[in-house]
Amino acid sequence: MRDVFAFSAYPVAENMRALADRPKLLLAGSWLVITCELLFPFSLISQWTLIPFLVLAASFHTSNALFFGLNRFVLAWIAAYPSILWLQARFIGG
Amino acid sequence: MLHIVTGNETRPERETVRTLQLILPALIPSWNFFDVIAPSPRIEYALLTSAEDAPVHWQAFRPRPETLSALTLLRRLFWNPRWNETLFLVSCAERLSQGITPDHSAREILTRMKRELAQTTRASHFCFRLGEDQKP
Repeated sequence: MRDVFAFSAYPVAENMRALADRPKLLLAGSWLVITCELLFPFSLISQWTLIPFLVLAASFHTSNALFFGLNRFVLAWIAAYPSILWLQARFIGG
Repeated sequence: MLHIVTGNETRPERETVRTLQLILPALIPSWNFFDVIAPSPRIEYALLTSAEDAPVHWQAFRPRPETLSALTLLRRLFWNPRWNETLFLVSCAERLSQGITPDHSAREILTRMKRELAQTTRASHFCFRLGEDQKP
């Protein structure tokens, strides 16, 4: 993450490169994303655990759009969420 | 019976391996979103008055702004064609520097630079080069 902010082409403004000097923040953010991705299968246990995870996932994609300008992904991913909700209700329920 | 293995007979195997190499990364999650994180080539240009002029003053093409307001960030969530095109130019610059379809990449870069510089300058000629952002 440090390298991405420090010198990749993705940060949308120069002042965002300063985040490269916040290693603890980047480490915490990275582990938050990794933890959420690893725990995601367990969120399918119930609709009440799935919805907060989908909100977190939407926040992740929105932050990618804000920091790196990858706005084309945001609506595409969110458009897939109803199918995940349907899948959970159809095969697991609760 | 003598059986000679030719290049043609091994081609299906190679194609199968190649297909697996393309499909497996799509099916199996990986933490390595980027193959490598390195400074991207930066497109720089110099304006000229004739084709014989030597370029002197190089400028970054489409430098990113120093800051962006919260309102602009919000608007760009929904409408951001210029930045998406800039990312495409970065991809073209990377492919050009790696010698991957260089003619196509150079043509795509030149087309967009020509269109943009025609609107912002009165110079009759320009040239471009690929610089590199320095790793801090």
